[in-house]
Amino acid sequence: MKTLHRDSPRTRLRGLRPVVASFGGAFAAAVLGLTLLSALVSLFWTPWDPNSASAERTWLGMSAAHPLGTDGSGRDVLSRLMAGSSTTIVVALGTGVIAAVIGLLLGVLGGLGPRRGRQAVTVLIDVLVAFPTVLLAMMLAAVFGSGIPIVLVSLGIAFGVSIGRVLRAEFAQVASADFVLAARAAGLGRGAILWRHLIPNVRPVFVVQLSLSMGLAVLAEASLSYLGFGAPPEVASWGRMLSETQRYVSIHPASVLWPGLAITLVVLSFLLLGDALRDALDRRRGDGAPHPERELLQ
Amino acid sequence: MTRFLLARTGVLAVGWLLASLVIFGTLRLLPGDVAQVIGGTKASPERIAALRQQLGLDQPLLLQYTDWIGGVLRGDLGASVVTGTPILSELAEKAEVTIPLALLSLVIALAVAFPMGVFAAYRRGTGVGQTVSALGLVAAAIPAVWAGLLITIVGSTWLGWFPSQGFPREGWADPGRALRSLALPALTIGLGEGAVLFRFVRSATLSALDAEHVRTAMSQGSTRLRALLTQGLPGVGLSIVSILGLQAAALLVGAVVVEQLFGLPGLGSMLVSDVSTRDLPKVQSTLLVLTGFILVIGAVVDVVHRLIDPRLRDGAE
Repeated sequence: MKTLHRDSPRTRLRGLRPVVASFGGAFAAAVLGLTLLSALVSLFWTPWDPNSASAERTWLGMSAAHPLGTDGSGRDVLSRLMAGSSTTIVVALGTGVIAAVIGLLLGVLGGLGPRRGRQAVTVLIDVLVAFPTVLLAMMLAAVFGSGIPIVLVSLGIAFGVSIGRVLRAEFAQVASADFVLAARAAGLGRGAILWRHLIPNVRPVFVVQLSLSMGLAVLAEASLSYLGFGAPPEVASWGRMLSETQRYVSIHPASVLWPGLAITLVVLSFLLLGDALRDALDRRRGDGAPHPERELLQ
Repeated sequence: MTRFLLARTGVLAVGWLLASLVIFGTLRLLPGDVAQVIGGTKASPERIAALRQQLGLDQPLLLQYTDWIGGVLRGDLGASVVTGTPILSELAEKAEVTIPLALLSLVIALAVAFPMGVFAAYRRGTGVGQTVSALGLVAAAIPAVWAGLLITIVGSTWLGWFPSQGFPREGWADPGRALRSLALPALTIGLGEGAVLFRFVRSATLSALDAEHVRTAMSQGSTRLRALLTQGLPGVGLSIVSILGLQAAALLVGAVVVEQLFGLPGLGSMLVSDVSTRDLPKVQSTLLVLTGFILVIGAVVDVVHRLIDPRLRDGAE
């Protein structure tokens, strides 16, 4: 009986095929795959040492030796982009994991918990939403100092609250559906109902939210690194690279191109991936119109 | 309505109190001695002792908290430990930059997002409509710092229309100059927020086009455009109003980054420098004022939404 309900791993993978079939999904998969690959490669090899400065090699244009040129300290831009991609991957995945745990907890407690618990979660979420991501990160940076771990924790909390806000409503809605009532009447326990009926129904919304959060986390890391509360100087990060170009923007306007383009492409890919996943997974809302709540993560 | 107002005010007060506990609690989690952190590692023991007394750190935590909140409720936010100036007067001074910046950004965001979102939804499925939608998506993915730098290159370096840095020392004495120095920063925040709002307007308009009252108008002989404008858009407008509260938070975050980028002496750049110098009492009070501000805007938006949305009026539920 059980095998009838469960997707085998193969059919599950096949279910993801529509994601890559759309142009947006294929684009997202290509960009994110390339970023992941470059992050992995950069752990072992980059064309140049991303941190080795040289007074003789500053502001070189594109050449065979330096495909993307060098920056104001003579560091190879391509090598720095590659090294920075691992920071981006760490920020996106780390924030994603923390936000997923917090979001699911808040969603289950706030949507399905006992009455008092639901109210408490509602108030908590409303209060935490008043702490915008960057302010939360600055508050934690004021206490614990800055760095990537602080960025992960504060962004994870902030996006986890946003996900919890959406999941709470979804869980509450699904919990009142007839098939849940039927399952309960059939004698299924709470845990079994949650695992077999509620979570699968909330999963499309959850996956889309998560993808969106990871994209916005990359954006927020760029802002935080610019403000000096993100990656420390010795860690290569696209946000940091972008902020280092500000001083030279009037003399070397082209220098702002690469880090900004890299961030934009990755964030765009996460947004497109979210849309593609929604279209592929969501059987309830097939109209392609974004759900209002999903547009508001900040 | 009175009941709703009372209930909403209650939620607001509880929310603000909880926010104050979160801020106070987090800033007191500091590993080590607050006075030591503020004074720096080279501070003499006498200086540390004086700081402890000045900050009231020798008092029990609960008393420190009630002292702080009591002061805030009387309009006394305390003083900066770095400069010694009262926090309230400095906040008021910096707000003269940040609030006009946020309002200007909001106007730009709405002016971009509303017409383009409605257009993209109305022309859904056509090449133009899809191009506008794609542009909106790309714009939402651009980091604020990059957008600001690109806008500076175009608006200041190439065209030379607007200053790239700073705010006039005499403030709003010369409104034209002040506005000109806010132009590029407001454009940076406004386009970023506009991209987020655009996606929302587009999806709200798409659902409006499929809504029964719009389809009814069309079945009675109204054109699709006319039905959308007369029957659909009021609903779209209302759903935009209902999310403006959340936008207040986004505008504030935008201001933190953009003020730093354009060298504007506003609340955002003040907070950045206070966090860097570990002026904890000031960070604490500033965060309380900012979160309170966001919570109040959320409440005001809720009340306005209820006033203007006939579906939410008393008895209509």
